[in-house]
Amino acid sequence: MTDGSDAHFGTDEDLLSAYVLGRLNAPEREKMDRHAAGCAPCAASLRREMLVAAGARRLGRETLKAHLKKRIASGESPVEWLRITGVAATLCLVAGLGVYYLAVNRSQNPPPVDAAGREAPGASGEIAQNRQSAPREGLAVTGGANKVAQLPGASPPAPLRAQAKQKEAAPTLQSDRYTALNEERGAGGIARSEPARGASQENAEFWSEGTVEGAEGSPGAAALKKAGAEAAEKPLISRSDAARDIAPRRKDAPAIEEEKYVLRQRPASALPADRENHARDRMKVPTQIEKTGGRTTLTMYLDSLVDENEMRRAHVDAPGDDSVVVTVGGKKILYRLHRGGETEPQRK
Amino acid sequence: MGRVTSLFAGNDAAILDRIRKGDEGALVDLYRENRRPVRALILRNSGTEDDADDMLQEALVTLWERVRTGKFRHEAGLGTFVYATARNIWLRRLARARREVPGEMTDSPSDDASPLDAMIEEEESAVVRSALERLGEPCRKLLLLFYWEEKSMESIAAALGMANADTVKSKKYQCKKALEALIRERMPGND
Repeated sequence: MTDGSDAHFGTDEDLLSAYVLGRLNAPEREKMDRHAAGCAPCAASLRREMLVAAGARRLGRETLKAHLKKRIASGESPVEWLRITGVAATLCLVAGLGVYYLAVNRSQNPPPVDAAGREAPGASGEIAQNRQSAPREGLAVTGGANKVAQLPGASPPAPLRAQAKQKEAAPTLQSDRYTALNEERGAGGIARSEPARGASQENAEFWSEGTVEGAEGSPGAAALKKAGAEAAEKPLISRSDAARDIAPRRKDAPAIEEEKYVLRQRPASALPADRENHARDRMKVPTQIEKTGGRTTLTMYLDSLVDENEMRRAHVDAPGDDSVVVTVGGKKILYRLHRGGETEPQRK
Repeated sequence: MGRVTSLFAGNDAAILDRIRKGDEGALVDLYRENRRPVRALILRNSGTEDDADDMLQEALVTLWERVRTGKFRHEAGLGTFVYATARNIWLRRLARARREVPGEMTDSPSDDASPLDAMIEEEESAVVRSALERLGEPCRKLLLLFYWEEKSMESIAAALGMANADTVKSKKYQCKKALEALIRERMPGND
């Protein structure tokens, strides 16, 4: 005891623990320090307590670090497994829906038969890529999607012409116009079977840098503001809103009414080496855009991945022919799609 | 060239939530996201790729500790925290190794302990660590929950299936005595 007013704390477990865990205020701490300076047994108790705490902290850190190293080395994490199982489940869902769609379509639209009662070539759900094997004259019906891709020089038989006309007059509402896939987290979105598009669809792959709302002075800021104001905040998958979802936002561009957008995200660390220098502006989102068979896939490379629930709520608006606005994670990102050859597509 | 900062704070919240729940996979995700900038920093400052990985892992473990003990203040993005922590740990290590610090990293590390004190503490904590490993599983768990994760007696009782906080307190005392006995075997002067 040094000043006669302080009690020995060498056996006070609570006080010793509070000291080493930093739970005492400054005066309490100073009081213990003062006492320990003149009380060898108390100082020894305090030192032992500090050693135990230091050793426990060290063991905890090293154990966690060893776990982390092991996981990194094996490339495994619970998320990794979720991702794998998520992708597998999505593929199964796509395959199942595709088979169902084909079966339903086939029962509703029996394939055309020739005079001998044989099924016409290509009428049994051939996909667009197989079209080259179809006869030069005649029709290829693609993917059971009620779509008629007319081959050069061919004229469809009357029943199918009528069917095609009916289709033009009253386009089927697609409830899955927007599809979000969270590639990195596996459970971020839902993929559905998609009707194959005609051969006239433009296929392209290029990079675009999305402008995040608020980037002052950026060329797309005004358009983004306008589009952002128009964009409705609604869930991506909302059955009750499905019809409204499909109502074409681009009234002057009927050719892309049925276009679908697939939204993916990947970490910025996965950017290809030749794109790394483009990822340094926090208001820009380097994004790979792939247009294939009527589907536009936007793969955003983000420094920090968006929560899967946010990905589910993401949606795409198309304020103009050459641009889309992605609303995700509370941000609006404007993309120029370089439609119509405004910019030379950049191959990977 | 500026570092890319997080665009989406929402993802940080999800990661923090996973850490609070004890999901170590969250650290693996953070490791992947932050590997590139931390590696660039360490390589620019006399380090190797192994050093960079080590610093990043240390930073992630520090984040885990702070979050789990309720001491983490979410004032900046997680990426910023991880980057700054890795940088500070590397600075301390450079200073300790008495390497020359390049111009870009001019902040002096705050390292109060003298090199000799630090060495003694390092050796002693290694002895305690080793003794803890030899301690039985229930005691090791209890002491780690109390001293490392800084859990309350009530939380520890729930986590270890003990009756109540008093039972934990009593068990902790016994565990400490057992640990001190193991330590005395290695460090006879430490009574």
